[in-house]
Amino acid sequence: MRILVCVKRVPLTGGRMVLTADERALETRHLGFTISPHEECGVEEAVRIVEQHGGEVTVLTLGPAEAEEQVRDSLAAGADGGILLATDGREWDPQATADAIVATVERERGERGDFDLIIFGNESADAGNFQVGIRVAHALGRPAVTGLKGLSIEDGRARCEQEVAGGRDVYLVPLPAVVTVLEGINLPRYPSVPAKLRARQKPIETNTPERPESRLEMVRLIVPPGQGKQAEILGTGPDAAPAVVEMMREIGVA
Amino acid sequence: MVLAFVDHEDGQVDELSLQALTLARHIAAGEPVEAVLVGDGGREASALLGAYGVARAHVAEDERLGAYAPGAWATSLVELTDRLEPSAVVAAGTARGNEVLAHVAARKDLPFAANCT
Repeated sequence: MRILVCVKRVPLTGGRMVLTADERALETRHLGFTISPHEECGVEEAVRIVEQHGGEVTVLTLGPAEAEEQVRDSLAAGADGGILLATDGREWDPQATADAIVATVERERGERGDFDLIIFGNESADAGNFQVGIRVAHALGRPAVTGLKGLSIEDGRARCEQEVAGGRDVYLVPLPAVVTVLEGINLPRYPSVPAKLRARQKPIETNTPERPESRLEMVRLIVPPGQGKQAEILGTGPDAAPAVVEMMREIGVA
Repeated sequence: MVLAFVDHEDGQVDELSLQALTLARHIAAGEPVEAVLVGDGGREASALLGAYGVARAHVAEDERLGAYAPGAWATSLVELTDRLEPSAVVAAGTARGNEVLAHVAARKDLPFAANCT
């Protein structure tokens, strides 16, 4: 099976957020970059499915030339090939992003075959627009299931699990399908040194789509007040145990 | 007119949807605010919306809409918005609100600003 995982290069923010002078972007001079946490889990999920069922994983990103770094990281995590849709660095709105991804999928269908599954992170860590996966699904006429905490392939169908109050909702959708996954669906592997070396040999195709007129424009960024508080004391000694358990449940590790 | 997608459970309007109604009134700036509810219990939940400034509530009822199904629920909204032509559609930024509106935006090829605070 062929799986496409879409990822986005986002800044690795630590504590304080610092904006550029025009307040339209994060000051990234002293920041590293990564892919959104949901997407990291998406790559891991795709690699696991292909390890089990055979096939290949392609990673796609729409971003500046530097986003090749994120594609290489995903190749080191087990993806087989990458596609970089290179931009001039300006953000693309969700409709434009979806259109570019759809165009790539349709081109791939003609050249190398269709993708049985397209995986997105539930929303990107920076813009949080949430909607690109659903737009791509509509354009391709495929079902979309979002917010997954469980995913497996059975008899040509995707078995999708969402966490809800009191349990899990399970959906069975026919392939080809589009899904968006949540951090916590798996624990991504840490790429080994041999894997990183192998990643350098894996192919990355670069295209330069034309950026259309923006239909959703970010006007400015605002740093919320009170930001900079980095530690919250849950309690001390054994009395802290209930709060710690609650926190572990909240983040999905218990 | 601004249309608010109002979510509900067990016949009660969800708290975040009430906040979305406040946003809807703000955007409407004097124009009417209407609400749409889908799924079992929508009619019951709609009863109190007048107190939140809703001029008219639309309730989509069908046995196939009973349980949450984003594509089907979005169809109800698409049909309603095609008929009423609101200037904006608003919902709570919950998983459901985001998902239903994303489907509506995709179907109608309109911009969608998610997770506004």
